[in-house]
Amino acid sequence: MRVVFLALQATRRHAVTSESAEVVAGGGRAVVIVENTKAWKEETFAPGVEVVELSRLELRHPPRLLEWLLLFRGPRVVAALLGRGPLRPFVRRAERAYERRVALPLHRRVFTPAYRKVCGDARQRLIGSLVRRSSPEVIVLADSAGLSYASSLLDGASVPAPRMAYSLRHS
Amino acid sequence: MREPLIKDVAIVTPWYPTTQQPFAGSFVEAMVEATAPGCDRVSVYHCDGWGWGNPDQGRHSEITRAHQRLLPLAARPRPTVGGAQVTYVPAVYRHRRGPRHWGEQAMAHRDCLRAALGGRPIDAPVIHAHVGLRGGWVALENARADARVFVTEHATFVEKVLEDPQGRELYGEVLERCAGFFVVGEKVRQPIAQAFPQHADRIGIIPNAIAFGTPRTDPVTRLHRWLYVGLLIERKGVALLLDAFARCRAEEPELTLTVVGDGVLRDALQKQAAELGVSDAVTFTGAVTPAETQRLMREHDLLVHPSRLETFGMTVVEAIAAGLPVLVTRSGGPQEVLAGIEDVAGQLIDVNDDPETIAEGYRLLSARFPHSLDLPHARRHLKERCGHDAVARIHHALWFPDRPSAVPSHATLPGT
Repeated sequence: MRVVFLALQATRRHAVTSESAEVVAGGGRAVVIVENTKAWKEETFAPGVEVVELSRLELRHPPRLLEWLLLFRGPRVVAALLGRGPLRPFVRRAERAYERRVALPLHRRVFTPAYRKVCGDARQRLIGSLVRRSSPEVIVLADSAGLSYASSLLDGASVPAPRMAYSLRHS
Repeated sequence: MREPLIKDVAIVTPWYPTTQQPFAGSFVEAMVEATAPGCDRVSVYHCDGWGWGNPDQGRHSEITRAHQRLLPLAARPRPTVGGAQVTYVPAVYRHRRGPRHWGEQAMAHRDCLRAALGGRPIDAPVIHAHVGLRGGWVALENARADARVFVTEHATFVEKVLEDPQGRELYGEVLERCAGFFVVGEKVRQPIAQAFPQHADRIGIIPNAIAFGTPRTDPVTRLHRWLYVGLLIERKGVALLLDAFARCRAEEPELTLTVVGDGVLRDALQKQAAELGVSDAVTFTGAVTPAETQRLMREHDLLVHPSRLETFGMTVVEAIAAGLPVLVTRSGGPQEVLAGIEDVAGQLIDVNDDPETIAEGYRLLSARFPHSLDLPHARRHLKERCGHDAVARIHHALWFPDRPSAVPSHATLPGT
């Protein structure tokens, strides 16, 4: 069985790791699409489960890469240079505060809506192409963050469309 | 045309075991296992809360719309215990800062179940819901006009639900509209009866269903192997248990303790065991399956249950069902369930913050073990109250009043 798990929010990690392991153990193919792997660091995926990190893939798109360099990567490099010796704890704190209060709100409220307006929903296209490449029989919707993407997949679905389910047990 | 099913029941619950949480709502599953075999059809609707947080705040309507579209396609039934079918229905809602908005969450559960049903009401003349709002109110809102809706409240946090103004209002509606309202113990009944004195006489008491499988072959002959089963959270008092265990072990070095379950305190408790110098005698198994719990109960000598608050105390009954004596706090449910058999089933102790209470309880129990205990009698007594047959009889008498069967005398059925 070929199964894609849409698990962007990482709120049901145990279900995703055990069900993806079940697919692989049964000789199937399991692809797990996550937002970033950091949120999954305490979980272990079974060998053979393919984990795709969406935020990393998104950086292949030049406008998104430029935004990440300007808002996140650049300031982190500057912080690493300045934050040496006794200044380190202060700079670390300032860096965290900057990301929380400036970079993330700018990313969510300014860049993302503008990016969507200009480039369309690149993330939707990315998920669509990942799903098409995996040609799954079942798409497991593992949390609420992936629902709108899953719904859009129905619009351009091939025939027969993959089954949507909230867990492998209920597929 | 399809013949109408005579004994057709739907269950609506926010808790039921899943891959994500294999032990959540096992008491609802046990109730289904007990009651479904006497019915023509039992359909369980498990509405599980899926909250989303800050990063998705701006996408509220987009997510809700998508979910409404997906639900009729993705919410499929699968077989569960007792020949019943369970449909998993995620109920999406926004996480908000501050106290939980129980009323708002109940509305999300209602809308999601409605979407999963394709806008049609639940096709069953009898619905039994678990917990007041996210079960009972949701069932009432999705029931067909002629359906009778019964509700069982289990929640330890019912007071918090009633603190939310909207939650309280909807709760009042549940009591007003349902065909029968039950709680699993006095601890749950009190806050509801206080909040709605006009409905106090409508609140009945119904026990949880417990599987009385095969008891241990060899009876307990000493109280050396202690067992704790439950969540590792503050309310369960496991830190006090570790302290008490260390004190008792200083007097009896052969004592061991097995801690079954998981929770936020696991690391802290392991550290505490090391600090107390009892790491070598304490085993943390993590969460295990109900079957494995039963096996462990048959391999230990004493269940210690130091909880601060229990609405029923399923673990205590399960231990006695497995032939294990219990050392348990008067935390609400347990003293009600053990009323009349306290002394033959084990030892009850007060709820306080002194580990010496648990240690002293153990010494008292040890001093009168085994001569003043009668575990087979305790087991028989509880089986008559909470065994699958007894619980099924109570539910069937409610659900199918025109097909009466004997209702056990201990069940308090309210005026419906």
